[in-house]
Amino acid sequence: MKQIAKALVVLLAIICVLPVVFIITGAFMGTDELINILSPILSDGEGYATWHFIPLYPTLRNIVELLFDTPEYYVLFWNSIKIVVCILVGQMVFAVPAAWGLARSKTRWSRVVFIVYIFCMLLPFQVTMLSQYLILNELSMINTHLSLIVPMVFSTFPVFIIYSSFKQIPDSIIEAAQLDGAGKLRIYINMAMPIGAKGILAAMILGFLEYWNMVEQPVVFLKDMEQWPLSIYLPDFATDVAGRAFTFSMFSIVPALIVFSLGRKILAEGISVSGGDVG
Amino acid sequence: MSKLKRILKKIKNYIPGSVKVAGIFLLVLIICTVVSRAASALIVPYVECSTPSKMSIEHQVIKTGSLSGSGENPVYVCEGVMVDTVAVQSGDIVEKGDTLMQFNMDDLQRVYTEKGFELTGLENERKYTYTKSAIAVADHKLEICRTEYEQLEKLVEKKGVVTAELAGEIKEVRVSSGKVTDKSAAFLLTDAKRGYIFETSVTEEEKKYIEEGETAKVTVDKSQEHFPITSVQPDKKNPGNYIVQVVISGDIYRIGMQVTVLFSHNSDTYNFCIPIEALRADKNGQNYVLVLGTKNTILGEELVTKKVNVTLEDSNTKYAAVNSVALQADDRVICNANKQVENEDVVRESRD
Repeated sequence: MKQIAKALVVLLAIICVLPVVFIITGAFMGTDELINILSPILSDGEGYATWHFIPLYPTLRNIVELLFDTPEYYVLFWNSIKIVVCILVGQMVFAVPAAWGLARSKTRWSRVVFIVYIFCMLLPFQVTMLSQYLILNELSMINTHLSLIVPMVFSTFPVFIIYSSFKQIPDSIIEAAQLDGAGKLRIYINMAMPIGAKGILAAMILGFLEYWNMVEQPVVFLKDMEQWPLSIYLPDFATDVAGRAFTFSMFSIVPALIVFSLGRKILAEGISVSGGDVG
Repeated sequence: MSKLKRILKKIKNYIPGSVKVAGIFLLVLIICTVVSRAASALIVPYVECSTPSKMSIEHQVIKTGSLSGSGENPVYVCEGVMVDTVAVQSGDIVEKGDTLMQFNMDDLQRVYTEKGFELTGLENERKYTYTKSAIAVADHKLEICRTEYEQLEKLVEKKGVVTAELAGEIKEVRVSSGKVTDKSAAFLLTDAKRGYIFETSVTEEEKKYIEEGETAKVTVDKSQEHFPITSVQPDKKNPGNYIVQVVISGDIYRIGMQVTVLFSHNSDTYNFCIPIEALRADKNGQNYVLVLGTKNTILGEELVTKKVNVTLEDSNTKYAAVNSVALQADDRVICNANKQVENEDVVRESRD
């Protein structure tokens, strides 16, 4: 029984990993090979599309072309890095103190505010898109990176994750620190943040993965191509540039993989801490 | 230094492996960013542009040839004397004093002696003439005979050599060795003082730019002068071609001199004239030009080429007059590029 369960899990894992395998093998295929196997899909070829998991004629041409002959890739990459880093730094400044304030407050209104936060968190972007656009337009932020950064800095999701980890801190520790003469700022910096670090890092990592792959907001708020992040640039997916498209996708997932591997353990612990006593 | 090394070692040990990997990844991407920009800059062609100008197209036909004389001068010699040698032939250029022919001295001497006797006879006859009319006739005959005698005397002194009285070109030779001269002119000589003629043949295409009455620029050595085109006539020997004549006068010119003549004609003014190297043609024969446009790309606003179809109205070796609905007066037309450029290519403009 255990063996069957294990086999099933492995099979499901393979199916989940298949798209990444497609991308990696496609990045090492030459143009002729890709035209042969993908022409039924991308151009009016006859028959069915096929795939070679091991390329017949592997080549590094696509990778070399992308790394050394495609300056557009780096413009998009650094745009993404700029947007994501600014959002995460902004969340450290605003979301962490907001979560601490909500977690330590014992008033009824703090619960009401927290419930409103959860409600806002559940709203999809399409619902708030128009109102966001109007406000950002009034603030002359449309077609700038601020149109992506400012709304995400004040996002409710990290508040939710960090709130739960701050809620785990016993009141007695805080009271003891107050008795010892520690002020609110000192308690926040020297006690709350170190103790809630796992939750904060978990929120940052999840935030990175979400904002790195952000698609809807850039499409709506950014008009100039030079402002685009990596997530929304897709070369014209014709058969003659399919190799470059696969290579592009492969390199696009590398930063997310690095961040995820960096905080894999922290993420698991942070989410498990956050999954404790919510509210 | 060792303290710095210890600090760096501590930092290195403190930083988790994944962060190091991330740092190396970012560093590699920074280097690749610079390299890819440099590689892209090497590939992008440099172009030179100009705006269409309003001007007329000048057509030039350049011909080189030699000058010939205009007008004819007959050269008369003594009648009835045998010719020994003829020193010139048709087309020869002679200066004043050049030998044209040589009479046979024996025959000349005979004719001279006979003329002397005739003169003596006429003088004696005159002595015995009394009526007015007879005297007039006798005087007239005497004068003619005396003139001929003097001419023969001069010829005898010159050993029978006939020389040219003026410079010119021998148009026709009517005497030959061994034959006796007659009353008609022995030679036809052109007169250099009456000007020179430049004659050349032009094709139907070239004739479009040459009109009777316009001027042509004549160049010889470093001298340049303008002279009128006096005649443009169909060439009967070569149907489809035309003979153009320009009359040239001046002290510096000589018969037989090589000159270069430039026939220049300005067309009507055209609104869009571009350098000829800017004009291109596609595989269907449609003429087009590439103009500079802008395009918003991921790398910002870039200069790109745009194809504009044009109709060729006129051209010479330097400029082309075109017409197009899509071409504007302030469009920057691409004339030259350091690499091959096609429609929708990204380019950089050279400001040299």
